[in-house]
Amino acid sequence: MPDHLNGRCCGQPFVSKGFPQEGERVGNQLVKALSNLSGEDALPVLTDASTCAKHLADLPGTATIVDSAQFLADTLLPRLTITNPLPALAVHHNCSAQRLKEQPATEAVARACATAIAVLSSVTCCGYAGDKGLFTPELNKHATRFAKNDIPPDCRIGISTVSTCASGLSEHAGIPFVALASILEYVSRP
Amino acid sequence: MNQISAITPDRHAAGLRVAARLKDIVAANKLMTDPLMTYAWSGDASSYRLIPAVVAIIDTEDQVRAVMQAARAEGLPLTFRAAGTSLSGQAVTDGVLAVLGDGWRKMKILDGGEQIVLGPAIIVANANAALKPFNRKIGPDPASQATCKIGGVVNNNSSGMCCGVAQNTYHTMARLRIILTDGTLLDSGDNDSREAFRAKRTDLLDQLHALHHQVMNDAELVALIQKKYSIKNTVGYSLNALIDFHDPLDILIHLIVGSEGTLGFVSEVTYNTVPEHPFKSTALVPFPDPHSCARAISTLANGGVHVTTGVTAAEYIERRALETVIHLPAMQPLVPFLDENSPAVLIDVTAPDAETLALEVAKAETILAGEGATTIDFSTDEARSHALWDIRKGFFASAGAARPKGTSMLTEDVAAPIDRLADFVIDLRQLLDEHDYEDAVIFGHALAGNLHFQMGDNFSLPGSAAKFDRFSKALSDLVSIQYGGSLKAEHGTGRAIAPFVEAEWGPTAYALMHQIKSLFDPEGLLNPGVLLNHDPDIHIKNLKLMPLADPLVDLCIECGFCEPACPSHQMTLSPRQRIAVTRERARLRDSGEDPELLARLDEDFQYPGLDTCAACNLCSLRCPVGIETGTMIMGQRAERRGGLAKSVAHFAAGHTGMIETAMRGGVALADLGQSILGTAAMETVTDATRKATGRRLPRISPQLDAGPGAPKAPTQISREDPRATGFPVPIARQDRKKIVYFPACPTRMFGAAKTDLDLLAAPQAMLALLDRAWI
Repeated sequence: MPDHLNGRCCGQPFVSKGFPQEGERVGNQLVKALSNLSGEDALPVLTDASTCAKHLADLPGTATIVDSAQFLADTLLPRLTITNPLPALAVHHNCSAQRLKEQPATEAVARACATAIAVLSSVTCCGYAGDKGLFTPELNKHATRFAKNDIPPDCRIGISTVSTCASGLSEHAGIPFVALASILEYVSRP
Repeated sequence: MNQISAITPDRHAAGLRVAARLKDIVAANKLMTDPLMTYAWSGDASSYRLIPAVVAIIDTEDQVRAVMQAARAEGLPLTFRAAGTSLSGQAVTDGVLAVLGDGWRKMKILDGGEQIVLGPAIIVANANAALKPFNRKIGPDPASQATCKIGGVVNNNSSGMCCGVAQNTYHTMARLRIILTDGTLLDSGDNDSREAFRAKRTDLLDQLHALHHQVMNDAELVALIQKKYSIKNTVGYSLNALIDFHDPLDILIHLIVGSEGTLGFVSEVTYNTVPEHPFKSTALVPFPDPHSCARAISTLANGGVHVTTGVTAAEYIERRALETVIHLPAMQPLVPFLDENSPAVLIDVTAPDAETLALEVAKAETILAGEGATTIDFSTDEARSHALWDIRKGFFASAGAARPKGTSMLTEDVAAPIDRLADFVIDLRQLLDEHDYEDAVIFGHALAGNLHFQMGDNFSLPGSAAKFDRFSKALSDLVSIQYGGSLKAEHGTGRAIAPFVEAEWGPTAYALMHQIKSLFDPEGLLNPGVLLNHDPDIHIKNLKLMPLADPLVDLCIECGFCEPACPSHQMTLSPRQRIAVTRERARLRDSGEDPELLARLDEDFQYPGLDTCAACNLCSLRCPVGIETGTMIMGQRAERRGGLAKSVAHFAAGHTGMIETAMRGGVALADLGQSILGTAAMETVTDATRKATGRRLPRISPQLDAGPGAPKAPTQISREDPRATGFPVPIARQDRKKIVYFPACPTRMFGAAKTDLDLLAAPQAMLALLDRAWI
């Protein structure tokens, strides 16, 4: 893991808010730090928010960026034993996950974690948009207004591959949304 | 030069009065009369633009009646709109635009999928997704089915690749619920409603009955109507209703189908669903020339009898269309078999089981080989099938992407009797070339005699409207008169071909259509000028301009396919609307014609245009040409950043660590506040503070917990349970694979929602998993 993680950021929030130069500066610092760590072995770089993975992957840099969903599905899942599956799990594919086309990976992990999965079909982007959920919460509320219809009665928890989206969904879907890794860790405890 | 007429002061005033009349029944944020929002709702997917005097988003039947009354009282026309994907200008108005809101999303599956009840705001693809477990779908299958809504499908009798002439709404509707201009409701499946309607609207039913007899006594007219509907046809009203049914109630509901919002409002429909067979085989088959290809299609068409098992789709693709996609990998096996004249046909054979499929494929192969197909390669490989269909679906996108920026895209949609298909294609090609539209490519649903082509034209240039007018008249002559075909097979009459309805149908049938309109809507309240129009030049009026605004979005044709993906659609603006308004601002900036309006639009764009775009760019995944409206918005945000904001951002970019700590601190403080004050009180406090600070202070959601922060870099090797130490064990052991793990900032800053389970936060869980999987 990079040292001095505090403050390290891919820069996407700056670009999104209309500060492309600042975004580039912050992003390049991180890419440099990650490339150094990745080093000559060209170690893959694992990150755990689809949005950052998408943005980092689009930045020029040497390291291969792996988002957590893909990594959990391809590398970790085959080596784990599911001991305590959930009855049902709701799944939301956030915007970057859709653009990275990682839905199959996420759903494969989710299906391993639960007897049944329910993919939110009425929510495209949750509208939380990093921090819009904090500054224009009405957007998040509008974008998730039908989320409850997608969740079967026996489903008590859901996953999202970005924590801010998880917050936005938790508030309006009627059940908490957490990270995929958190659920996989829970159901595979020895 | 073509010009979009601005709203006149009189119209604007009438729009304000309509809004005032509706203020107690429609919420204020769903009534729009300002220049920004009315412009945003001024276009559909067609080449026409009309700016509404007032826009109302409506959710209930009472609101439908209220909007009808208000529009009537103020002398404004009324247009209902579902998804706004119409291609002929039937969903735009300079009067009252009533847009379907969230209240029309009823969906109920009956009898194990045999029927489905749908509200008019249900998207076709969503209805089909619900029917998929039953191996059923609804009959109408417009190419826009991921976007278009049921209200539009009923009102346009829409159809697509597999629907043919047998599975459209007209033929698969089981029940319809409508409201007429006098506010009367008819639910055709409810006996009480039928009887009440019969009692109340005897006048209308008697006159429809009289029309029925009038037509039945005219053998020539009956024959014409039968011939017109043996191929796809959406020109004018559904006159077949007058010969297919005897009960005037049945005639009435079938006339509503395809009436383009000019006769009544559709509030619910029940469909008899059709089979969606799970077994499918696909082939793209080249032929030596158009005639052999057309003969094969004609034989495959089974004498026009629609089948659900066997050949369900056959798309004719002319040689020039193939040339535009010849570089694609899926095309490569075909290239050796193409010569300069070779068209190809894309065929789907479907069946309920594998054995039947094999039989049906063998039958199709025999027919294709018999007519001289140069190679036949059926396959059940799903990926290959998708790749082949992507070629066909891609013509829309490639025509859109290849056209010069600044041009409108005109989509034509014609049909002719299938036995003349080859000559029809050859004559169409010649017509396009003669009128300087050589770039247009021809393709279409050949089983139903239906062909499409698209052309680009820049309507801001002098002479372009006149050129389009000459072409339109020549096309009407070729299709309607020489071939006895349909000038619009699927897309509806709208404004685009209203001047050519009489040429296609002849004076008797045309007069009948005017009679129908005046029976249902004598005052001309509903969507006047659409479907029937006395202005012979209406097809070249109110044409959309496509001023250059931003290279990122200049190719947008405003089809609206982006809208279902957008989180702010119907709250503020959709991507299509953001682009339309951006273009208008660019036009006003360049022309300097109205600086005051420009300043107002620029200012008003801030919240709906910029602040409420999530910049998720999901619009780009739906866009036929991949336009990222979110990226355009990010650029506009950058342009608007003042010096102070930039220097703050500069500082922030240099101090992201401080911000992160502060954000986590803030969330943690709120967390503490929640424990002390309780969630509801906390929400009130934070919402009030946000308002007081002009939305600059972030609102803390009750679901938001303090983030776990960055896991501390482990210093010593340990196999302790990470839940006990709070931070996990190191994983970088010499005998293990190495990986760099970067816990992203949102993961570090925002904690997980509270759950009943004893879950680890994301970074800790990830490290625990790495350890457990012994990577």
